Amino acid sequence: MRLTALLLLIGLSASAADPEFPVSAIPAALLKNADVVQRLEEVTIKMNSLRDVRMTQRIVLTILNEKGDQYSGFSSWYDKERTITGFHGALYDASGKQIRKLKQSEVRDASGVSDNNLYDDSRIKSHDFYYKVYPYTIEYEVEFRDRNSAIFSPWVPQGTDNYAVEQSRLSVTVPADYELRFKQFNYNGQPVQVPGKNDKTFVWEVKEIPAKRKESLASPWRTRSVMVYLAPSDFAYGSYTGKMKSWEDFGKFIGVLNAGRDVLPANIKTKVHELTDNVQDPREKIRVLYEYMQQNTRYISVQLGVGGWQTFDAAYVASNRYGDCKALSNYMYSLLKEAGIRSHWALVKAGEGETDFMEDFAVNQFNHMILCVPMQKDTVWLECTSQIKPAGYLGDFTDNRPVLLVTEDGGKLVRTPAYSLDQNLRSGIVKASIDAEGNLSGISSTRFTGPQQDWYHSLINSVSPEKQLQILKEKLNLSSYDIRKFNYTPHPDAKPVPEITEELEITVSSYANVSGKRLFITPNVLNRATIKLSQDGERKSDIWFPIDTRELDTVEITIPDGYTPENIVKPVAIETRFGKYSANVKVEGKKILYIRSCELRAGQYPAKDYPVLEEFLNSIYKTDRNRVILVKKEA
Amino acid sequence: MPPRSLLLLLGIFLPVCLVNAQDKTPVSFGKIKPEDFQKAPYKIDSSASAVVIADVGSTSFESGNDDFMQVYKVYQRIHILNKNGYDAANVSVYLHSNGTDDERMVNLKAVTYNLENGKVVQTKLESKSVFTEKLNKNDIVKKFTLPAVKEGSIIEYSYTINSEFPIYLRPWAFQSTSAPVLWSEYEVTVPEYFEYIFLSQGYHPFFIKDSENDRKTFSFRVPEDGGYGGNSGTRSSTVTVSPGITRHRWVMKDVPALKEENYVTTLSNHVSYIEFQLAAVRFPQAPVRQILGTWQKYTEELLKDEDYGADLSKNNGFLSDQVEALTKDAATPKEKAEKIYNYVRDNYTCTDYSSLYTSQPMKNVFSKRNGNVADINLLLTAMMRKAGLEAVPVVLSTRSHGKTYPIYPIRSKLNYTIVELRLDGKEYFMDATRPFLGFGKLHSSAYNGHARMVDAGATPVSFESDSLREAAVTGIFITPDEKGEMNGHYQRQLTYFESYDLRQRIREKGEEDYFKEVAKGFMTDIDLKNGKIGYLKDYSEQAVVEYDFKLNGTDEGGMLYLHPMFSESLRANPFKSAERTYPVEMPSVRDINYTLSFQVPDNYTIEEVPKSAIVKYNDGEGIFQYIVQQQGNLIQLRSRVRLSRALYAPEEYNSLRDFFDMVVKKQAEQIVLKKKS
Repeated sequence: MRLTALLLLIGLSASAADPEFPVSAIPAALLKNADVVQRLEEVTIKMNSLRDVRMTQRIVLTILNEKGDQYSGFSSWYDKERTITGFHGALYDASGKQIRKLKQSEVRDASGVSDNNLYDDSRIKSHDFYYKVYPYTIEYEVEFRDRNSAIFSPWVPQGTDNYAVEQSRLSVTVPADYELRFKQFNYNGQPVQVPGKNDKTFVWEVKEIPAKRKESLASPWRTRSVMVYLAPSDFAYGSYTGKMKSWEDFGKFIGVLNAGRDVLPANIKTKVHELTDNVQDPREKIRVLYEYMQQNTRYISVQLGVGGWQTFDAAYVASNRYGDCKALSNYMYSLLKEAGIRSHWALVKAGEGETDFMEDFAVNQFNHMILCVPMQKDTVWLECTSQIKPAGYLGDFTDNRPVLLVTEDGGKLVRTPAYSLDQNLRSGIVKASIDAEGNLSGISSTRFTGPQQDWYHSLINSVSPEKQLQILKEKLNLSSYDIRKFNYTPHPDAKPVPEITEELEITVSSYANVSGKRLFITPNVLNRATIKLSQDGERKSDIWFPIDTRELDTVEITIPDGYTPENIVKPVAIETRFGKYSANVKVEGKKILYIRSCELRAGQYPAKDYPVLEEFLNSIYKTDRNRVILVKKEA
Repeated sequence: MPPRSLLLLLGIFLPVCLVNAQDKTPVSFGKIKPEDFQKAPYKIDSSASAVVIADVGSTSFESGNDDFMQVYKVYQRIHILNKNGYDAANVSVYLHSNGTDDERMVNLKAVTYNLENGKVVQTKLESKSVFTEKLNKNDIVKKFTLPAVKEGSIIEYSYTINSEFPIYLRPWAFQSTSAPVLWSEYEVTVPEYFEYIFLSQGYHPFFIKDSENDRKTFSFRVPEDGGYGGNSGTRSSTVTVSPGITRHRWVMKDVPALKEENYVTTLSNHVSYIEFQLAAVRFPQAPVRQILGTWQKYTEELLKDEDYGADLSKNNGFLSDQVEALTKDAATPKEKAEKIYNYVRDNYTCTDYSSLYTSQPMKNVFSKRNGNVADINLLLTAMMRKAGLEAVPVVLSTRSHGKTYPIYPIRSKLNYTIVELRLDGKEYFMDATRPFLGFGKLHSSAYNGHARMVDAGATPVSFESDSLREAAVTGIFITPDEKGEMNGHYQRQLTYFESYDLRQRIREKGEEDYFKEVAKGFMTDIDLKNGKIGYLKDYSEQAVVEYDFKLNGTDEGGMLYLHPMFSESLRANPFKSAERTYPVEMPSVRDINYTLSFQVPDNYTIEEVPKSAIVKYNDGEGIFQYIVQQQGNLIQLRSRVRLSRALYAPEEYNSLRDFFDMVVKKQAEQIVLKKKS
């Protein structure tokens, strides 16, 4: 009896000391569509000084099923400036009983050098409990010390789709006289402010956010869920300090950090003059120097210490002939400067479709650098990490988005050019004939402009002709065919955007299906839509379409003797706010004539329009596969 | 069936000493002339982005402190022809250490040569541009990139690795998968004390293969035997030996790059390559130390190895409660085995599918619930044994790891452990590391030929892809209802590996999503309902997918055109290349069956059906049957594609491709129905 009471007491005291997370305590609404429920998250940031920022992240997650396993561990990068000072974890079963605690010896430590870089100094600590009895709960508490204060991770309580949140809390303490900057998305109200003796604390908290379902073509996450971005006013970065209250400040800091790194060695200076002194047109000077830079450098990235924002100097690039985006942009800047042309480094958030940007909140949103050369009337943009792009052309990696120019007067936001419908065009002509066995042979000629030519441009510039043929064969989704000849002619100087013409000579055995006396021919030979959409339940997210595109196709197929059309599909024409599509097919004498036109318009569209988009794209998918049916006349 | 090309050479060569001028290494470091830049395009491959002019290596034995050490030297000259060849200028050198002995890279020289105004300009690599990345406790990688590289540059680099691991003689690849090699040379000098076997493979002939004998003096400082407890460490004496040495030299010329294609186990089985395995050590006045012994000796050692089987022979009391809980209600030994197997498979996560050795003591694996393939399958073995079952580990090499040599027990050739269980005279092989494998089933990657049981007899076992039959049976039945709507029923028994993939997909995306994709993939527009998957959780069985559908065939001007194979046709030929230089290695022997029974609605007449056909491959080694029968308004179609082999020689490639062309073409044919007016 006494013994039982004692055991009971021990049990009680243990449960009082250990936090418990029984799965039964999760509100039912949070289980819907969820693979994982974040039971609790506490992010605590304390800035002791600009060179001493402490952060603790405590996270408790319940993994509901196998799909949630991807969240069952914790991993984080560190380097010499940002160190991990504590790493704790525990595993709980469904009733909330602790099964195991993490042992320090189980924390893996690995090199964090990214594939993009030849070398950098980051490493990664990680751990996983690898438990497979569902549901289960994991807890991690990881402490960091950062000697820089330029970058704070944003608070994203809800990690992604199929992820519910029970409770999440962000608390940031800064010195009493420090201005903490923040920007909220989908957060109701303002943070609670708690004044301390020598400091002040801001607290944000959310509770019970149900899981979201994955939706295709969804708008950026911050338009869909709660996020708070944090930014410094004053900050330290390596041995430097700076301000980030405005874009002007941020640009000024980048300018200071990189000042004096534009000194070219004498032989390169001579080269610049040799190349440009006899050229009058400043645009031509830019082109000549850009091509010189392309031919004499390559992209190699080495990131050490403050190397994230500070470039290797121009002399380093001159002797090694390589560098990352900053080093190569700076090198180009230095070449232009020697030729008397003013240019600016431009920080950009690069990536296809990554055009979404917070213009009203000065914070590092960048991952790349390009160069901006202002001219009298317009601007020339240079992507300096490419050894192959024509001068002045950016492509969809950096188009149509705000970038931060580093000028003598500090930073300035400007936009890179957007490509219109006709600047992102595919226009193709196919001429072919089909014999009575259904074999097709013919030629095609297709013109690609702007972003549509980017893929082909890198194809012809980055792999051998042999490999190009192989890739091309995989891309053309025809069953049993041969490409007899192929040829790409780039027109880098085409205005306003570069173009590529593709010429193919193909034979496709059994292209048309022969069934007895009938021939089934799909007149759209080379350009069938591949997207088919489907959505269950109510669409929640806005629709995000980043770029305008236009496609024009004409096909002429000569049919074998003795066949007449049995069936021809009626013309299709669809117009929606997302774009226009039409397809017409007719048979004239011995020829099938097919004309297709398709335009998609960029934009952010309301979620309620989704059924329209679905119907539109699915009709295109279906219509592109329509067949003409020919029947052999009885003799 | 061993690969055609596999040449097993014992380390005995006739000494040949005459060296012709054309047999010498054609280039040497630093001797670059302006005309060297003019040689592109190279005849061997006019589309190459980079050409390896010379790749020259050597390994010799030298005097280390108190033991032999190996000195491995590499010299490469590469002509970079265009931007796609720039990767050749990024070099990584992997080095190993075990805490006491290590490998060190010394004498690194790297120079880029450019032709500027008719003159050769050199740019040297600076030592501060060499980076050291720590991969784990025992491995580092030295990385550098050559400076001043542009199109047309010639680069050269050389380095030496001093290795304190005399047992591991570095292998040599004469062929690359990315660039042609004009001259590839490897020289190995071995003292008579070390007896290596040489294993070479590939299709390219040697230009030179010779060896010569010589003698060399080595001296070592060895601690003097100061007696027990004496301060012996400080005194040492020099010992000198002069063994005979043999210098072997291999050269290949003009070796084209080997390109990856469909259906190959791994390209590394096919590149021209030579490797070495220490067989015995014969020091004078000492007994011969046999390193490479018999498989029996090998498995005996493996069973004692702390990093493999040592834990198996312990009591492992920590397993008792779990094993007892799992087996107490089991009626038969087989039921016991299944319960244990399912438990390990469902509760343990495999973090590394390629490891011969265990990563941690079994007790830790048991409590941490994760480990590599050896950790988990040895735990399974131990738990089976705890329950009184006869379980034995089996070692093998997975397909991507390459072939094993049935006659030589070479550790580096093995990377995987499975488990054999003997029950009532029956043998079961199993693997608890893959989440969807059933009791008694193996993953397709394990079907790579020769394997060995880790027991006293080291019994050989064989898992041949040629013996792995993968069959699927599909049936579609379509009948009209009273309104004339065509309703159908679909049923497919998937092959076992298709079932494995399906289970994985269902876990990732769910059944609902799966059936949505199925409906999309059907050649005709359908409304799919009552989708269900039989045996989804019964991992030992082939899964069965079933659903009902309504056919929304669009009537085109009174005609209805239907694809009678629907989603089941082979839509593209898997063999796309015009030719093939190495064998086709399919993972299994497939037998794919399809039947359609189609009752055409009364308001249609059958206008046309495809004709029957039978195509035989290579006198019945493969067959494609396509049989169509029509009785009144009932159409019946049967299609079968069956091959009886998984492996095909390059000479058979064209006929195999033609066979599949035929299948694709025939299976695309249509049925035409006409509406009665």
